[in-house]
Amino acid sequence: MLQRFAASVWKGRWAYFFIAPAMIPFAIFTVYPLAQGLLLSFYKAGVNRDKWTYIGIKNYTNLLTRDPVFPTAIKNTFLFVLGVVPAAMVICLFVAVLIYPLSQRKQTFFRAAFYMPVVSAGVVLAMVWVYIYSQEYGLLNYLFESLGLLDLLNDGEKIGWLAQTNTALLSLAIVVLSWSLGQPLILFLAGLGAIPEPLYDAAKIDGANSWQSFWKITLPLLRPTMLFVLVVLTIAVFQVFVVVQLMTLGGPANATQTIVYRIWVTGIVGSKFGYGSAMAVVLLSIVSVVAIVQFKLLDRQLT
Amino acid sequence: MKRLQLLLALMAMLVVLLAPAQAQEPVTITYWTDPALAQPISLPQFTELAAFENWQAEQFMAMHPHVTVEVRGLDWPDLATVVPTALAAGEPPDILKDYLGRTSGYGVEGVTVDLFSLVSQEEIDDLLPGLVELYTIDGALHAMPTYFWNHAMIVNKALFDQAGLGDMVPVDDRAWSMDEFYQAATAIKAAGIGVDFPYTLQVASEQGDYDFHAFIWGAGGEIWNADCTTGFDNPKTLAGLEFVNQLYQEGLINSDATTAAYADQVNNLFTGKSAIMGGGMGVLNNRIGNGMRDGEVTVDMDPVVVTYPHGEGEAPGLGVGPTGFAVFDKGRSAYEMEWIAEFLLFLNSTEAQITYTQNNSQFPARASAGVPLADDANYALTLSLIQERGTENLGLACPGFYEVRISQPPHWQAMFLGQETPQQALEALNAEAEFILDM
Repeated sequence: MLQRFAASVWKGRWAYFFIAPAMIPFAIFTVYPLAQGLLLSFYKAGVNRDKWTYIGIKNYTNLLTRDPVFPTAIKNTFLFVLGVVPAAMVICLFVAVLIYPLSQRKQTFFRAAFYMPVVSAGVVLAMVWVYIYSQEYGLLNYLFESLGLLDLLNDGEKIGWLAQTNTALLSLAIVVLSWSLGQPLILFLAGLGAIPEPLYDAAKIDGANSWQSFWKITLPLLRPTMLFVLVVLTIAVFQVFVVVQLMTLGGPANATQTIVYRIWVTGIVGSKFGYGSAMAVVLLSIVSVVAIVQFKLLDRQLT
Repeated sequence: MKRLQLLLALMAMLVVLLAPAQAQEPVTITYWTDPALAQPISLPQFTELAAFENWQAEQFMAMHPHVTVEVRGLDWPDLATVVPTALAAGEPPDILKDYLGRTSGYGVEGVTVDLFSLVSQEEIDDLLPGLVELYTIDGALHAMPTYFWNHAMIVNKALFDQAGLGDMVPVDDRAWSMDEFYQAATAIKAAGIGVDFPYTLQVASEQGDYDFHAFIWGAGGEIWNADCTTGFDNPKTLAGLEFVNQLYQEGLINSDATTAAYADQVNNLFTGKSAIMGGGMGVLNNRIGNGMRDGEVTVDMDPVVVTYPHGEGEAPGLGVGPTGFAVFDKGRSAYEMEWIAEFLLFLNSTEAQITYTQNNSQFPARASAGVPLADDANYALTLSLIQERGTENLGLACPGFYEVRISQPPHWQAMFLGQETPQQALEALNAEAEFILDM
């Protein structure tokens, strides 16, 4: 058995040699911390390593049955994902289809414009949005006031976009959405470029209009790209943190608590490393299940 | 014989040469500091984080050339994250200067050195006894207190005078009842001089909690009991909370308190939108003083220190919060610990404490430091108020202090937004605190 294994390794030695530069850092910086995190989630672990105690699944039972904030964080995170991911997919697809026929120069302008938030510092963007949403001096309230919308929506009173529980999560979701568009757009444009032009020509000859071409050619052939974008975006939005940390600190009244923010507050700021690791493992499990479901569903349609 | 004499002479020379060399074995000490002295008032040459502390370290190194001190300055948010992570990684500093609310957690976890065994009794005896008691956890002095801030109310009396309401500010005894405070706040708001929210507050983060807790203490309630259980089930805590909620619901507190930051509070005071703010000598001298000097204050300003409003028959004390030096247990040799202790005492000497407190308007922990800002009327007044009325229990040395602290703002926010009644907020907090303290 061992000999056969050794022989197979020896046979593929060059392959192992060439993937080693990628796999060794991956093992050290990803697999090892992941395993450590998993192990830590079964410990009561604070700042004193000598006092770390194995407590079995107590962190998990506390998390799922006693923690008063974690269920809210899970709910809010799902709301983020359900709001941001479909919206980003639809907007990006729409914009990509719209700008794809344009000249290369115009396309480049739109690519750059949409990609700008991706390469900008999250802190700076968050600060800009804080000013946009400011109740007293914010641009959004100014705009709403100018258009007479404040009278319609809030009896003429300025709206505390980040101060009210019914608007805070939506306000943050819009911020996350604004900087989630760049990458999907580039990918959709690349996907559109890979669709053979003769297919559209043939459809045109057969009398198909633009709408029919989109549904029957563009959309089916973009499915692999859509699957990739969907999975990557879902994983990214599940990890929403910066906007919460910089704009609301999880408030008001826990309305914007998310799982990663709870991990930060409990695991790092509160120095409960074991408990924080249990939260991280729960997040990993949720993201894995969602990604697998997405793969299964869309993969089935691909084949 | 001559050979023997020569040999003995050589050996004696070697002993003479080597003895000091052994005593001068190099030592490296790591010292991490909070940003409390990032911009000392009387030392304007130091404008950056840890510049002052680096200068101190250079002085110490000049006196002891074999010692190398590596200084690192940490911002307030970093203190809560970098230090615990470094501890878990086994790489803490030798000495840390930080607030008791955080160092106590390290003391409870048993990662600090017991300073009773490192510092002489003479040095301990010079520290204020109340502080020594506060810093003693399980019989060990987990850190050495250096100075403490106070918390009271700062009233811009100029605005009350402008509205013809100057008599409503209790400048005689510096104390007002809840009813007197309410009447004054209502009157200044109605006076039509631009005071939209008489009292400015923030409950977006735990950083504003003393501005909030002081109302609870005023009503005779508690956040922490003396035995380190929480006081959320105390009826007087509820009374205090109902009073704050009433102030907010009646527009006497800024409507954006649920998201406001400290800078917004200061801005409200500086622009006259508010006339009252919580704070101590640091806010009074450093923030307001600098604001007036730099032209940030756009209204007449006559800041007056008063205590928070009190309920019928209640005599609340003032909130005070000490900072100290903790030494982490890194398994250093006795020789290295000797030099760490030497540097600790250098950092916390009487002279150093005077310099600190002169520059951040706090109060020294050493009796020998006296009253460094005795010429400052408000400083002397505040000190007398602390002596007369005592201090409130902030629970700083209680296990779970910080987590209970950060669990509170969401419930204060929910109460202000009408999603929880004061009673419900306290019930929820009680359950959360039980969970936190039980973990």
